[in-house]
Amino acid sequence: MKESEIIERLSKNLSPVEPLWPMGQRLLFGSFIIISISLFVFMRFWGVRDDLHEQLNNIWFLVQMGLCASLIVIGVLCSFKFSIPRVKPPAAWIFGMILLHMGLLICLLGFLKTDPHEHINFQRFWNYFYMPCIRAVALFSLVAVIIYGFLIRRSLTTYPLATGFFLFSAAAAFGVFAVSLYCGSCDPIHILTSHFIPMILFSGLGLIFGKIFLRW
Amino acid sequence: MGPEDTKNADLRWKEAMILAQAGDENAYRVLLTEFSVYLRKFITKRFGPLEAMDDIVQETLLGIHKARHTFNPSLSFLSWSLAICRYKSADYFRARGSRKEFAIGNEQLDLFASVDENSLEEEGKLQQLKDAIETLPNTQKQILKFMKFEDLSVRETSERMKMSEGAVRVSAHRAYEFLKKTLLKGKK
Repeated sequence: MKESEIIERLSKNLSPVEPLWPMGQRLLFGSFIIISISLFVFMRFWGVRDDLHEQLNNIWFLVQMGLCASLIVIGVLCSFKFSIPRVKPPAAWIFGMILLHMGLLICLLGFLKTDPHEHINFQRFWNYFYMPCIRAVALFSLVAVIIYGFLIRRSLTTYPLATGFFLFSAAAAFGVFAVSLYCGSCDPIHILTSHFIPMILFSGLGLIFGKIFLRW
Repeated sequence: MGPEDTKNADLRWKEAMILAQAGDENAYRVLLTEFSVYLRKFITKRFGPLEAMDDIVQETLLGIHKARHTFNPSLSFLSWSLAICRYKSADYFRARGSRKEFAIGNEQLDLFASVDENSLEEEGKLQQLKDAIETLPNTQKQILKFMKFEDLSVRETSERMKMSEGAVRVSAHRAYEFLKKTLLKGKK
């Protein structure tokens, strides 16, 4: 087909377009739905951890939750930014994501300080991976990916890998946030192996997701 | 197109895109027509002459159409549309292999054009060359005839052959490579 024919065909019967929702609006809308679904799951099926009231007085727990919440917000906004042609998030946001991940590791060390763990058996490290928590992280992350992914479906990214990575990072942070309200363990090794490592792996899956599903 | 012209064109195209987002067919048609000319220059500057030029331009126009709701009027039209072009061309090359396969350097054509018939005759290669040309596919033979024996430019050849300039360059390149191999083989 000739170029002139394509132009003629594209411009014929051109309909007005509906612009994308503003990023903040999409973030609030998506978060509202995800929180509603999570609350339903907690109230109907799982319930929250028994010591949640005590943990709310634990500074390391609060810092961990705060870092996860920041990761969700920045990750979602980065993925929304990256999902529009030509638009990139400010470098400070990406740098902030790295800092927040490092913050989570420092937080783990904080846990370790308050709850010394002297008998780590590195030869049987695999045993520390606790499948119910890993499954829960994956489940909540998946819900977040579906909802936030639905909100970027109309934006056509020119950076599919970055969009996928940040989308999954935010979703995985939500998974850890939600599971921290449900899992009663304060063992830092458990949090590392069954919460944070799945979170990092899930973020990595975003690269594959972006490469396969966000191309257009 | 100078920097000032590009800036003016960008503003004009941005306004046309805003009208197109509201459903103005004429503004959109003019925008795509003008922009496709700019796009060809941009692609040539970025990648050199390409056989796939038409495909990439068309892919980019389709991409712009598909993504037109994502255009933010507060940003530059050019940077938005060229990002789509870069993405589409990268995607095109990724899907079909390296862009080197689609590119042809002017220096190779110049080298071919500078072959001296007298020196070939002295070496007794002229007959060998003629025989080799006879074995070429018709299109390549015709292109060589126009470019070598009638001294036509790539553009003129492409008009006569009803092919794109890129396709003519690639065919000429292939023919030249084939002849070079044949002559070298004869030498050994």
